Amino acid sequence: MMNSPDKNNAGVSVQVRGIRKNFGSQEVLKGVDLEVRPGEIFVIMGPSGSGKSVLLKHIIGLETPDAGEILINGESVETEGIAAKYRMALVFQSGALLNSLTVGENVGLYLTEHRLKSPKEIKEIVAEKLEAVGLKDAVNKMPGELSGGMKKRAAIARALVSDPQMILYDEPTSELDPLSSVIIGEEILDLKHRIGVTSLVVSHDRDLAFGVADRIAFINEGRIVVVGTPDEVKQFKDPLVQRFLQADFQRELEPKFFMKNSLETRLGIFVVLAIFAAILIIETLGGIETLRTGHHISALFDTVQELKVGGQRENGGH
Amino acid sequence: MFQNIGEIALLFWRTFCALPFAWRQRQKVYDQFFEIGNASLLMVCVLSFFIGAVIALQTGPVLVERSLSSAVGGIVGISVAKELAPVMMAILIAGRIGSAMAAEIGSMRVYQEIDALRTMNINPIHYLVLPRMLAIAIALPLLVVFAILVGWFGGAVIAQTNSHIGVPFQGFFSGLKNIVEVKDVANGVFKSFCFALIIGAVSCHQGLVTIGGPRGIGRSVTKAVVNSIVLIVIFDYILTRFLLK
Repeated sequence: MMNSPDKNNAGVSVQVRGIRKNFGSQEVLKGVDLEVRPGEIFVIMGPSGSGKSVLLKHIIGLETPDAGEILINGESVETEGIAAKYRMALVFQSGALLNSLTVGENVGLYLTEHRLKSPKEIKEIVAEKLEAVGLKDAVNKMPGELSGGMKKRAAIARALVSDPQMILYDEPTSELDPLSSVIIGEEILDLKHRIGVTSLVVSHDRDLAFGVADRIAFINEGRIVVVGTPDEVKQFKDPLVQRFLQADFQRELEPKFFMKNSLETRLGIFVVLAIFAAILIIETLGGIETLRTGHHISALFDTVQELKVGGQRENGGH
Repeated sequence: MFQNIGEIALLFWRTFCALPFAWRQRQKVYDQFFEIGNASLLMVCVLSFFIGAVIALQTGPVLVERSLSSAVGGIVGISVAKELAPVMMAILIAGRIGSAMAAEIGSMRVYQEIDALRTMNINPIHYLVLPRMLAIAIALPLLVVFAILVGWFGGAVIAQTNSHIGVPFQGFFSGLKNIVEVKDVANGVFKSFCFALIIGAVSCHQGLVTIGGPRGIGRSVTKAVVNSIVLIVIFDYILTRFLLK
């Protein structure tokens, strides 16, 4: 029996206990423990390849752990019928819309396949969810006609259609422009306040994480490094966490600027600098007029001559 | 190889267990059925016409030379009905429809669409495999019936028009009627039903186990077609041996 959207809407809790997972010889998760409280927004951050998405797939039941267990409201995720008991939805990084169906059919797929509403009601719900994510006019379009951001928003609409008790987001803002990222972040917050859904977000978007999270977990090489509120994570004295949170792009200007130009440009710069330097030297010595008349040089010659003459006299005197 | 056979057997069993849900998927079954029939009918007719024609051309002159012209219809009739139509049509459908099934399901697997179905608690076997298996299991036997009729017609046309044979339409079909029985046609149709299940199970399995990107999809399509044809020929021998009794 399916858990219909009209039934229990309370967010669910998740306990992850000692999860381990190997893919061949590669150990991806090395004993992950964490707890997500009902109705909170929990963000898992970490570098690429740290095991974030794999952990997410374990929680929704797409992967089976080699060791450890995952509990949804205290029941193992491997229990028969758990997917029917608790409504959970995953927003894939790519959207994962079914390419053979229209956007509207994709969004209404859960209700259609489980026969939870009449076709007329499904049509209304689909229109409402698409409007909520700003895709009202895309109902009859095919996924191939949508941009990356629109696909992601359609995937969120598809997740919302079941009024889920938990939504898992896999990199919800990747490939999105800053404005769309803000809309997605606001949507995640709005869902928490409106229906009390538990949200588990995997992301390395620091703005999103610190903007929406109640708590953040930092994962690296298959292990949880720290779990805490955004402020606690910011204060956490771990070099990797700090480097991750403070990483910024540095432009190296001078040496690169000269080296990246063509030979001709570099020659031009050299000539201009040389002329400039020559002018400076000449001005220091007394100006161009002095140079033309050779005043300083003739004075120098006179001095040398006098010294020579003086020296000869002294020698002759001896 | 043994793992694949085990997985195909398991998939087949799970699809069989999903039969009570078939009515829910009737629209998808109809869509797939239309796809298979519409895409293949013309090709089936052309292929089977020439198969009948070639058999008549190969056997006709030899039999007429030995004053056995009444046997031309029978030989063409029985070879087309019991062997050539089911096997050749199965090979054609494995190439046309089996490859399409493997490619479609394979790309859905690669682009996480099947994972998306599972997160919505939609069973991919109910949603993807069952409609395809049912559609091909209904469509291939029907196409084989067409193929048998057109094959006989092709044989009859050549038997009448070829100067070395010269057996008229009436003589051809009366010879055919004397030798071919309804159970021979049923035999061929039953074989084609078994071949349809093989094509469906192998192609859907290859699609579901696709890994990698476009190259992985290409590999799955090739494997689906080649494995289907190999299994069709092996099962053809087993079924023929079993049905000969």
